[in-house]
Amino acid sequence: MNMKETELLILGASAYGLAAACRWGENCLVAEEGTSAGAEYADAMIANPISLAKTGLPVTDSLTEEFLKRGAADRDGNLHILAVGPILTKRYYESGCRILCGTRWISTEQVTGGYRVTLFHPKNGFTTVMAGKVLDTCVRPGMRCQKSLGMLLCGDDTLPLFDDGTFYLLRGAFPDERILRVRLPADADEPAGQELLDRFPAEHPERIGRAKAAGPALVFGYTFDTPLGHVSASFGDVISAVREGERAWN
Amino acid sequence: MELIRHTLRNGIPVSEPFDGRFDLSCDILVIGLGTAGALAACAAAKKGAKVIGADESRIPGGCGTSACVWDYYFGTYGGLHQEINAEADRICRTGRYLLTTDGGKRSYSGAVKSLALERKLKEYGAECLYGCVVTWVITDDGKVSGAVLFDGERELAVSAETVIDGAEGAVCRLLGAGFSGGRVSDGRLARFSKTVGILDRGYLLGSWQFCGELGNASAEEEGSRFFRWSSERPALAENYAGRSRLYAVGREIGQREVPCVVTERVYGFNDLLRGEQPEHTLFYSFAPMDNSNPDQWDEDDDFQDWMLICSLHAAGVTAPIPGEALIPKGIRGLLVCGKHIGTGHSLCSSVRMRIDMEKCGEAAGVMAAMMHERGCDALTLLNEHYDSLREVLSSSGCYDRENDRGFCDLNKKDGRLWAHLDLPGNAMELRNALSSTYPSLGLLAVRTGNVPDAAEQLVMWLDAEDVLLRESAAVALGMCGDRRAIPVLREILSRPVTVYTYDHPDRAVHPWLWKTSFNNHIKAICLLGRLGDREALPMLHEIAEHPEHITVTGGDAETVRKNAAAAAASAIRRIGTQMTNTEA
Repeated sequence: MNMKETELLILGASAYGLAAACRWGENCLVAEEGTSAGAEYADAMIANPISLAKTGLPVTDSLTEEFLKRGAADRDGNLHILAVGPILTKRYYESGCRILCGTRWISTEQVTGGYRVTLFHPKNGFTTVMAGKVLDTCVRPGMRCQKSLGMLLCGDDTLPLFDDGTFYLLRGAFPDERILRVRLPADADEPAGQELLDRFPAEHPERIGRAKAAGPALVFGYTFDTPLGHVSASFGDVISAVREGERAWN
Repeated sequence: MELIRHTLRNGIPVSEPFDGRFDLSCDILVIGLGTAGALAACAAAKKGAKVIGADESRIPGGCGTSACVWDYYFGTYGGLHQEINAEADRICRTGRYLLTTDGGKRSYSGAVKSLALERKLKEYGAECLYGCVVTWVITDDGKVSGAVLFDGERELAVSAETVIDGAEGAVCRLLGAGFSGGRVSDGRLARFSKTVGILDRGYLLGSWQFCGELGNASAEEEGSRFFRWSSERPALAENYAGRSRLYAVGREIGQREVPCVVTERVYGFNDLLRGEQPEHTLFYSFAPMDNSNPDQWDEDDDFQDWMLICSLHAAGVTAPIPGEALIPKGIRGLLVCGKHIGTGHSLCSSVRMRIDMEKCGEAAGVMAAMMHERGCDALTLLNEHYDSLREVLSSSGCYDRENDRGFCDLNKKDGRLWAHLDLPGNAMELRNALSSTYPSLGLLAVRTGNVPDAAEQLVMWLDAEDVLLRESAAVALGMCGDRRAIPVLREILSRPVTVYTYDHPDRAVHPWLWKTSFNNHIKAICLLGRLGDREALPMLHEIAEHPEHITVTGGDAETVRKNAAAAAASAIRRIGTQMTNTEA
């Protein structure tokens, strides 16, 4: 297999990278670790409410409209976060961009005319991509951010939101939909986070009421004090990430 | 000592010297902590080995946790997984988690199962590294002796006496090991599914549809197919209110089949049909032949015989899995566990139920631990210490001779087990079966050699006045490769199609098993193709090009015609290939 070439390489099928993928289409290659788009928000269950205000940006506004139409967002901007992934994935698929799933970024080297990027794909091993431009939208080691893990809860529409500094509760689009999150040290692994989330209802039953857990987030969430360049997770909510990506890359 | 590390670069195997600087060391390195790999790590650690487990995901459990594949209806009882399930039961009893629909299926949500696995892995003493992919495999004088893992920031070289590949063959691929492909005709594998969790009467239910397949897909084609199916129903809904609301979305894709590694022994479906009992059985799997590819006429002959010719979708098979099917051929220091063990394409569809894959992992973990204890390689362990190995596996119930049930009726229970299929054993019983609207058991009896001197009886029945007997006799003979069947097979094609439907009198759990429908027309098409009958080509072309001319009685006429046309096209290709090969 020969090395790949592309005008634009996007690392992470992210909310921020969506508009660029739509613009570059088949001249864009997307390298994604998972099997769907928007993982930094959807798989991580970072469900901060979105703004429904029109921006004049076509990708952003049409996406906001689609969230509302499908019931993935309510009129207050609260999100049914698990729906965000399939909707963004559809947008990526329809953009015509080329996609590699299960792919890890290894290194980037600037060369004449662009970049030589090394990826790792389970079928082909180390894969070299020659790219005119590289858009890295992922969280990388060393970035200053807060790591957290989420758990989807349902079944009690009376639960008030709270934040005690370690645990906090977000609202979803449905009246009984909540996401319980725990802030974690940088070196914590997911099992450690899951144990904390598992113990919380027993230790604070008044916070959880009748709600039950559906499932843990499958990846960590990262929150930033301020947006950081092209890092999709740093914009706080999925629509803000899409909007800033569209402003920068269209 | 010659340390070499191996990988793929742009798909091409590459090897280079390794400097010997390891960051971690262990007795057993398990790469892939999915359904099988997690149990391999548990079993090896429980036996006292120093185990490091690594997975690219953030949680263990593979498809059973990260792909929302919670429910499995089949598999055999027994094994270490029962201890993990006991922990999962305890977590369920706290009342803090949504439960899956459970009609005695012992299924658990991803949240519950992953927590149970994590606790047991810790309790048994396995060290787990999450978010790591294997990028290199290290060999020492040709024996696998470790691997390099990449965690997104740095590489970690881990030395190990034995490596277990529970990562769908990722380790094997880096070593350049051989893989058997999908089906012979076009390389296709079984279809995958994107599964999501919805709520059904207050319980979590995995919701899915059949998606694409990946047999010959390039990396980009695979990515495109994953993205396409991750944005279709049920993941993408017109409106998420009500039953479409999502409670879990799989990050992994539920792949029913991955390419099988070529192992020291491949125990395939043909071996099972011939009644071969391997010498070093480690566990028994049980399930129907669960390959749902709709174009069965393009499947391998052994699968086609079972599903299309004998129409046995309502029967289960027990497969005795030998230890040699867990040893990649010619590679020391490496075992495999999971869907990619040496079963081949056809049998793979049956040997993938969760509790059977958990037993597979346990068997690999115990093998590796005993190899470490005795200082021997895998083949020596099987050849010289099989009895001890079997004793260990028996103590957890992983190996249990009672699980060897042969072929079973999935509509009938015998206590907590499935009832044996009652196959004809003599000419009279065979005749009765083949004369009925449920000839399946008679056909299987012929296929498995259960009736002495069946061929001569069948030839006599080619002249029977009873149409069903005559046709089924021809089908049975044709399935055995006997060209004396050809005239009656052609005769079947010249007549209108009759669809027979048999209502099974016993109805156990699953409604989709209660009826068996078949027609001899499509069987004849496939068999004439297989027998290379050139004289049938004009008839086959007529069917392929003008299916609207086919008269159908009973059943869904449109589907019958469509399938007949596709099967005829396949038969024509097959005859053409045979003609080309003969001329060559």
